[in-house]
Amino acid sequence: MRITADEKVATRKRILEAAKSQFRSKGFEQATTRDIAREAHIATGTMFNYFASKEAVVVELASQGFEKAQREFVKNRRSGAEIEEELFALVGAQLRFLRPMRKYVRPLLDSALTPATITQVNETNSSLRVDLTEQFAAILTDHGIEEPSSVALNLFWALYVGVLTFWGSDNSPKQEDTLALLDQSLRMYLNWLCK
Amino acid sequence: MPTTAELLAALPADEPQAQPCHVEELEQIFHSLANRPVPTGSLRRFCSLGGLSAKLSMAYLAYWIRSWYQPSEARQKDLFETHLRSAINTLETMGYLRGAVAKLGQLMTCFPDAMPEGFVDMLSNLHFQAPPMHYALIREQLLSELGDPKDIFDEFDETAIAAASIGQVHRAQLKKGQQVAVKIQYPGIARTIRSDLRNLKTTMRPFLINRDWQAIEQLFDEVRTGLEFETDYEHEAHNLHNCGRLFADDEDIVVPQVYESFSTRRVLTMSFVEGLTFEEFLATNPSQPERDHYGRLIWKAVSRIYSNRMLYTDAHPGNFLFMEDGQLGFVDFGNVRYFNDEEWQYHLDGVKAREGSKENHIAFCKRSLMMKDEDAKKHPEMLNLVVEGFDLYNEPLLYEGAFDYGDPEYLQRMSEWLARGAKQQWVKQEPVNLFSHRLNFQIPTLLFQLKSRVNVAQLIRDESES
Repeated sequence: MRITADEKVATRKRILEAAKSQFRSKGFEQATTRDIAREAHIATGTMFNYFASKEAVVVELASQGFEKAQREFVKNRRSGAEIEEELFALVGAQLRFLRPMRKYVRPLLDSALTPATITQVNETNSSLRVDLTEQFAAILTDHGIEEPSSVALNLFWALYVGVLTFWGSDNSPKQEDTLALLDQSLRMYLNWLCK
Repeated sequence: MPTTAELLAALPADEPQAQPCHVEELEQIFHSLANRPVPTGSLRRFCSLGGLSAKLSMAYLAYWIRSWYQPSEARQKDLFETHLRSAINTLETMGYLRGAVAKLGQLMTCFPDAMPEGFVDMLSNLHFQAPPMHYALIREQLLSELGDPKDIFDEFDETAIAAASIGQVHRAQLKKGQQVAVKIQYPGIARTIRSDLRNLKTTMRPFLINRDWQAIEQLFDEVRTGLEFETDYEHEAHNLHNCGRLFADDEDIVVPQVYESFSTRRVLTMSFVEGLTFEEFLATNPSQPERDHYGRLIWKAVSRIYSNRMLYTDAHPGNFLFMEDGQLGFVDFGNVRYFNDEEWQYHLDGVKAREGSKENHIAFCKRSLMMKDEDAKKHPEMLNLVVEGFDLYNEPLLYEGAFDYGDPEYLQRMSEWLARGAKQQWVKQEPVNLFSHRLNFQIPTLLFQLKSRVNVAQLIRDESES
């Protein structure tokens, strides 16, 4: 029986919802693809037609969060905002939309957001890292930093991944320490960049 | 960072009154503290500790560190070196010392010769600067604490109108049209302060092997408690409520109203009070009657709170607004201390002593220093100094007629007295004195700048009758 495009979309959505539920209740390490498939009412083998691994599911969930963050950033962008504020606004929004998956941000970092050089491309995650890098570079360009060097972008990427890593295990109330770290880190980075 | 040998060389010897302080070395120490960059990955932050408790307590702390070094066997020397370095390091890691530490150094080195203007300058400028928060950070804090600002405010001024002690204030309008001031705290700063103070206390403990640790610990705890309260805006909301009701029927003094639905530990939303800041008011070159009028209102405000068993412990110029129709805006209640029964009785006894004989003054002062008779015999100079200070503080209260705070002579005598007091070795005192003494210095300083003349005795009589 042929599966329609709509059914494929619906199945994909069910898998993602099931994965969120399983990760929340069992944690990323303990949740299995079998558990996810069962909750999504599909065969385990079918699940692999959509996602090759649990990590791939996490990357997809994160991508959705990043897209929402980007939309919110664009919608709330205010004229006259300085570069530091804009970078903070974007990352701050990302952290908020990724919050449901904070406890399993590590597989995201390991698989899709490694602090490798920008020139190295990983087939499974090139899209996410490239998209994010382009978003950051666009903000830099909007504030007069034409064609940011690969050093500048790599440095920013290292800072960004460092903040996400910290955030993943930040037990301060409402992860307020991460906001402070992000604020101070951006200030330091931009002081260097804009010298 | 100077070497330990350099730090030790900068310290005075055993007899504090005999040795001159090494001005240049001490300034260098504090200057290096002021200019040290924030370590990578550290969460140390700038922070503004608006309360004078922090400023003076840090000055005392710096002085104590100087005076604790005592020459002894080599092994003990090593121990002291280690602890001194530890204490200095702890001070260094307290990022909120930055910017003002140089001023602290100047204060410590200028004690005997400080002019009133110098002290006034120190008090008005010695505030720590919180890192400015751009609107994106403000928005994240509001989202975290209250929800989407668009659902709460019709308008929100994205530019801060004032710096608060560890945050900043924005003007806004609620959905029903109320004009409000929204104070938002820098993320994580409250916990950083609490953690740093605990660390500092731990650092100080082994260093004080020749001192009365319990007395100092009590004082330190007093300061620490006050600072921690300042970081909790729910506590401030509680203070605003308690103090505000005292002026509900007063036409002259305006205290903001709290909007509790839009306030949390990190965000405080209050009714907006419109008026000139202290500096703006002085810039209008006000007439003498205007200066006297506001001076009287400042005294009245603080005095009425005190009469209701509370101590407004930070009469900083930034906490008053000079309103168009002659009203005084009384804002920022981050540090209000409540007297327990024992402390209140102590203060009532102080009032009685003020109006009593010289013997009453001495007896009360002995008690304030927690001195037994044998202590008083061993430390007569300390007791005499405190009696002198008691008389000095009460001078305006006993003066019949308008006391001229604008005359620098009074503040000069007070400054000299403070300088002599800082050099004393006696450390015990009733903990609540730390704040009442500070207020006793703040009010004359404030009114000196205002050049006010206030009939304090009459004001106190009027207040007690009302």
